[in-house]
Amino acid sequence: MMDYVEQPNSNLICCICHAPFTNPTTARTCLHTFCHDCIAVAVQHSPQCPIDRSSLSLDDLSPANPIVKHLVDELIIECPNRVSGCTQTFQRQLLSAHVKDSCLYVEIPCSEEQCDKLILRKDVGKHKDACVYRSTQCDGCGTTIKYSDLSTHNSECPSKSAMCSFCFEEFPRSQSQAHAATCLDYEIPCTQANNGCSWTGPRHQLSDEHVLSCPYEAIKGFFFINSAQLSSLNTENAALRQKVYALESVVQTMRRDIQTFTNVLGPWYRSHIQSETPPITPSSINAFDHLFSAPPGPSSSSSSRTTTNQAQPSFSADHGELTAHNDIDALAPYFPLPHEHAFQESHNNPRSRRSFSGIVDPHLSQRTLPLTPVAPLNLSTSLEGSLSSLRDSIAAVSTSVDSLARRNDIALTNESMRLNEELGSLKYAVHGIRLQLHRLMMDRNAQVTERGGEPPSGPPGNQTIFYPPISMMTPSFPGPPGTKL
Amino acid sequence: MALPKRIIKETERLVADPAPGITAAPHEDNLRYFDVTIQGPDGSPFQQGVFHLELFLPEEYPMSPPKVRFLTKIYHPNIDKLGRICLDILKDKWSPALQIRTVLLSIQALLSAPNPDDPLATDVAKHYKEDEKDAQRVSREWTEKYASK
Repeated sequence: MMDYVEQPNSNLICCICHAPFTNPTTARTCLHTFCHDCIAVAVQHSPQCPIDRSSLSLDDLSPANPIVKHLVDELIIECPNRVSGCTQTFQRQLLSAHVKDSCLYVEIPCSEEQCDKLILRKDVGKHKDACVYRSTQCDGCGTTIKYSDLSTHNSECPSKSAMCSFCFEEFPRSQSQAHAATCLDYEIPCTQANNGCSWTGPRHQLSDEHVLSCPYEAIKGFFFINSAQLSSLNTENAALRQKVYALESVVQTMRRDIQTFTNVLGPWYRSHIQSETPPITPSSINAFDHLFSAPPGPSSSSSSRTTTNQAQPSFSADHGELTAHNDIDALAPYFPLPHEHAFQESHNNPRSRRSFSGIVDPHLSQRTLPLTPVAPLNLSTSLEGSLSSLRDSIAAVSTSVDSLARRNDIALTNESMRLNEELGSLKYAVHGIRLQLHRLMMDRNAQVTERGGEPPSGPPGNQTIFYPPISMMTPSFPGPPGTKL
Repeated sequence: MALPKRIIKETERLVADPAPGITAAPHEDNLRYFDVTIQGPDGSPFQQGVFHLELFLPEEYPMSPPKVRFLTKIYHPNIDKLGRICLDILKDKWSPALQIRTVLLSIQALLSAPNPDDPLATDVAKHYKEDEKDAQRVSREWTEKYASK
């Protein structure tokens, strides 16, 4: 809302808001002019010109003639901060520039970042000198600090004077430490305070009076020796503790390794433990034995020595000894027995049940009982993965043998059939030969008889004579009757 | 809600430069509510009468018309016994270019020129149509009775 210095020309007044046009807008249809916002709202309420009621829509509106715009922009208005005290007047179009840059009665934020006050532009200079966040200089040390921190700084500034609370002497604060070290009235503890003397008092009394009477002072030689011993013990203790940590971590690693191995081996574990030893260095075995044969009886210490000497091969045997001497439970986790595996096994494979039935329960019996080296099949470890693959290949081999046999069979049958046929044909051939032989013989007989004077009965007669044997032979032929002969 | 500048301007002008025969003054506790008096126009049956009206500017004013009602009883074909006024600019013919002053002048004109063809009080309109003289007489009587100063 603007206050105009002079009553504006009534032709520049919007009939809706009764003020000089803002964004003057003219209806193209009836050429009446209004403020843009006023006519937009009016048309939404009722789509007609407020002046002549001719129909009007938002599309009919267009910016008014620039002359109108210039006329209203150049109207002289009063500053909206007149209430605060600004008496300036200016053209309406300069309003925003005035408020933004030059009006002295606009509230602007203080230039100090921490200060959240809003100050009238005319008071900015005054505020700068009074703002609690303004920068100022300490008159003692010359550092630049915030005004609000000045009082805190004054109580700390090394160049300001301070007073000893014991002798009431004044000196620069920077020398306060030096003073405390020399002030005779300064309250200090007894020199034997760390040995238990609870006396405190002015420095001058310490050497003059207290030292003579202090019971701790009398035996300070003992304290000295004692503390020396204590510190050496402490160092030793620390070293030992570190060692223990290291050994514990070794044990952990071993435990993990053994666990991994037992997992990998599964039920194979027991039968192979004699030959397969985990990859443990002799030194770590040594540490292991020291740890777990803790109450050092002569037998266990000797056993550990043997382990160290012949580390790898006797490893498991040594464990047997240990188990006998010491806590079984302590070692139990190192030799976990997969009962579960065994159980599953026995369900799956009745044959394996036999081998596992003896070891259903405890750790001791496992170690003492001799075990059958028969490995169960159908396990879920990698070892038994290979087993099952072996089994698969056996199955494959057996099937291939099977098929081979069948192929052999077929080949044999084919061969024998072929031979049969050949035999048949040979028989026919022999038969043919025999017939021919017959004929030859008949011919010869005929020649002989002819020569003998007897006229031959002729070939037809011969044929009739010799045919019967042929016809008798035919049924015995395995081949088809009626051959090419 | 702050009072629009336009209402303030109109009020100032109504008080400082009132239309002849018309006064309008806002209530102090509600600047949208006006007490209005209209003198009966000379030459009409309502001559010499002073009629009291109430006028209320709704929230949407000037986009919607003011609400005006006669408080004084009046015998007029376009004003019913509750004081409601049948006047087109108070209804569909309202325009934001109109203002309180023009509305009141229109009402004053309505008193001079009753329109029995567009009645609100049908019995009065019928009376005016059938016997205008007698109807005007009743109007004068009512004016004397209810609207005398």
